[in-house]
Amino acid sequence: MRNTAARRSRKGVILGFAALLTLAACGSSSSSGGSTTTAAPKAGVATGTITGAMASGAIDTLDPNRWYFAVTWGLANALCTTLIRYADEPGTPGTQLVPGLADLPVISSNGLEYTYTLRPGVRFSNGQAITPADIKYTWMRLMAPAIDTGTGFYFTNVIGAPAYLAGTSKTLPGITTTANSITFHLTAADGAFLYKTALPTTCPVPTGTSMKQENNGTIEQTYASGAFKLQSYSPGRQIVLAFNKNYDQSLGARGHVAKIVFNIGVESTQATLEIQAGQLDFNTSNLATADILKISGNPALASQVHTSARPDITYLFLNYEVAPLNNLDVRKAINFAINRTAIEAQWGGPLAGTPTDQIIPPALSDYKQYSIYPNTPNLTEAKKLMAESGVKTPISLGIRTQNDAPGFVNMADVIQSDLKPIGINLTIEATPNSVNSSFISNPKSHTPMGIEPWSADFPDGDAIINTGLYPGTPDFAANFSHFGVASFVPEFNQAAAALAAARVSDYQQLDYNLMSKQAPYAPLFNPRWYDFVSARLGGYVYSEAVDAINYNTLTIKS
Amino acid sequence: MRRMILRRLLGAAVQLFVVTILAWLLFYVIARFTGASPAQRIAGKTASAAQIALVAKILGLNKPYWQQYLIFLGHLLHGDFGYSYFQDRPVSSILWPATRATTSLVLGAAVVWLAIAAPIGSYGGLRPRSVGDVAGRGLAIVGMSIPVFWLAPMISYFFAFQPTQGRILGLPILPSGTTLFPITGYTDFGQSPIQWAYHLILPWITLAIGFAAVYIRYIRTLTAEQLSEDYTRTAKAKGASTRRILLRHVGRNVAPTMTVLLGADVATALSGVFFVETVFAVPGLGWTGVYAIQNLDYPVITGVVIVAAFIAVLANTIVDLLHGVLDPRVRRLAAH
Repeated sequence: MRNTAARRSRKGVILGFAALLTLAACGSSSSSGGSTTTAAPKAGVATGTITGAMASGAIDTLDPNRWYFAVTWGLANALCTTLIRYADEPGTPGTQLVPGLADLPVISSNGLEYTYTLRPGVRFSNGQAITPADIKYTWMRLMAPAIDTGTGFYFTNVIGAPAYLAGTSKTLPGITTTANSITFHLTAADGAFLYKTALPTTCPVPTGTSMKQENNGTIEQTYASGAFKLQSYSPGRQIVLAFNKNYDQSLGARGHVAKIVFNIGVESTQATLEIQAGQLDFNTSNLATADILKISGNPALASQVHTSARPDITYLFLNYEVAPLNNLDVRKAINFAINRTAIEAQWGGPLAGTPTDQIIPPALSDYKQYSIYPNTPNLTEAKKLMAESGVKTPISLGIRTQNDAPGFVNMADVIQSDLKPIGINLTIEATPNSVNSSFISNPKSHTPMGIEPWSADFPDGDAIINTGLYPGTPDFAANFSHFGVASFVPEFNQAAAALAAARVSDYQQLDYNLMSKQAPYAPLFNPRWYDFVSARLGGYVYSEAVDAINYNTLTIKS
Repeated sequence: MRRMILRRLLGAAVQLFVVTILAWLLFYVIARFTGASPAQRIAGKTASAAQIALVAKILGLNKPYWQQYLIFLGHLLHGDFGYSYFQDRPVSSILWPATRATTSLVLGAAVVWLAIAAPIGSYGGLRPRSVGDVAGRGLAIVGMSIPVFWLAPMISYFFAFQPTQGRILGLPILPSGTTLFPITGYTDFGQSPIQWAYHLILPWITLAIGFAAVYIRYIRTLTAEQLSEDYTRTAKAKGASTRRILLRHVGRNVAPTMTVLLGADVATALSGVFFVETVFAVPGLGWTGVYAIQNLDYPVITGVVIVAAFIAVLANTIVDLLHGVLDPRVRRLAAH
């Protein structure tokens, strides 16, 4: 499903995390794509129109406190400036946090207070100044039950947030303002808090904005805070962004074209032809596998192809609440029996991704390579583990996946044939992603196993491991494995609260411990991002943090 | 004739009534037994409890079933197909542009397939087993064998993309950068009739090829049959020209049957043009329906089902009436 309408996987409730302090700007260690940039254009000079294609269903909503799909977050990066934001750089440097509406915050020594001072001159696209009161109102809106942002729970440890999120309180005492600053008061330190204040759903709205969902983009037509504003939105047809003349360019030029037009409903392969024909500049979807092979093999087009690492993993979840997957030996046997190389080949082969047996993707700073399970089956070890498990075979189980994106049913086919030799007979249940998501996120469905793509909400192990596997909330919607081994809770809490180098090593260790001692997943592969852009498009940067093209840097080559 | 029209219109009304009942049963009654209330489904995945309650109130979902149906029917009769909470706008504002796009595509394609099939089929009927007839039948077999999901990208590739690379059908005979047709896209007729036709030429041809192949065979068979009838021999004996026999005699007898077939096929095509709409990015009904299904947008799904059924009933009613106009036997049968 990672093609276009990529839904980010939602994060579990992370209550009661232990203490600690500040977070240094994140480090870097992973590989990056071969993105290119052109000479930096002059600030305020924005001319010409570029046109992009977008698949149908790529937009969930244009409400700035609700959007969540990957493509919409790409738009958010152009329409919004959050308190702090990610650098406009390709590869790992693009996961560094830099000043946005505010300077980088001052953090109290106990890690419980984050104070952001707004930079002078920050304005909405209609010229109205953005104030600390607007920022507080933004948080109240994004955490309001009526808005149902899906990311409000990230701020559960702000004082007063649980009651406000539950709708039992109308105030948020944990956020205070002065004339030019805003302070977040936390009940417990949170090593990922800086990242959370850069989430696209924290996009500022003016005080008094309706506390109802505004899905059609009316807010961003008047109150955009990024280098672009929304000029028009015709659902299912077209989105037009126009350069925002009121954007504060004092920290560097952003926005170099006058207009960006997105035509919605263009099929990916057709979009590739249009780009090659010079009728289109880019596509918000990942390049289709067949096109990756075709375009990559054409030297004349090499300069128009960009590939990047993604903060993503596709994995097979194994439900602890369904026998015999509640047996560690069975979960390990599955990890030894599957052919990760063959499974990844269904996604597109070596160009499109890399097989993995780890949870954290290489694009995140917490990644450290280890190897527990092989890429190709070790049936001897798998059969030995099945025998040691004491489980009588053959066993019949279901595997769920989506059938409206290429590759997923084929992956299920491979897993089905891989597990047969160890006595596990799978029945594939494939449905459209919307149905599949509703099903597997419902704990009552007792889905034994399923293939899921996961995109991190921010470039940190917290957004993958704590979100999908926090053992304190085994029935949370995103905890598809229903992992609830209580002895792991302290280790999760320690990693979530840790800082800088300790944080990196804690998540690396947690990843290793989970896969070696529990195997709640069978990690499959880390997909790569491929873009094919027109010959005239310059300034291409793929944002690994946002998992989308950075529209702020695009230029038209002269 | 008047009696026939009344009977047919009454029949159409009954059919539509049945369609609305089936749609209502499917989305409002049967849906209750699949895990979520209709109000919850209609309000969307992210709806709050208050929004779900409001939807239930507007649609009367707490009332007895017969009242719920009357409310549903009342809304439909006022052109109110509900509200898409996913797209945040009335369903009718989504369906009408989509219906216009699909109708443009299908009716235009029907003109193209008739324009291809009528001369080839007539010629085959007139000169059976001739070289032209064999070639026509060969083309028909090829046309029927090509699946539209393959044909659509091929036509787009060879006639829209390749010219931009200086080639047509693989031959490097065009200046590089030539744009013969747009690769994708759609312009509404109201915005620009010329751009509307320009963007639809390739989709029309794509959709028409399969139908044209079938119609070549129909027309050939019907023409051959009619040419062997006594009345055509009499016409020939009286010295009528071939052209006159075909247009004045054979054509009149073939027309009623072709009208029935055309009506049924247009109705089928209207609700099944998804592949063509997808490849050429025409935002029609099929495209809208699939987009709605992907997003579990129940009000739009319901609307697409009802509009598609309405179009099918309407097309068949028009065909039946035309059949009556063209064939006196049908009128006489209806009078009894």
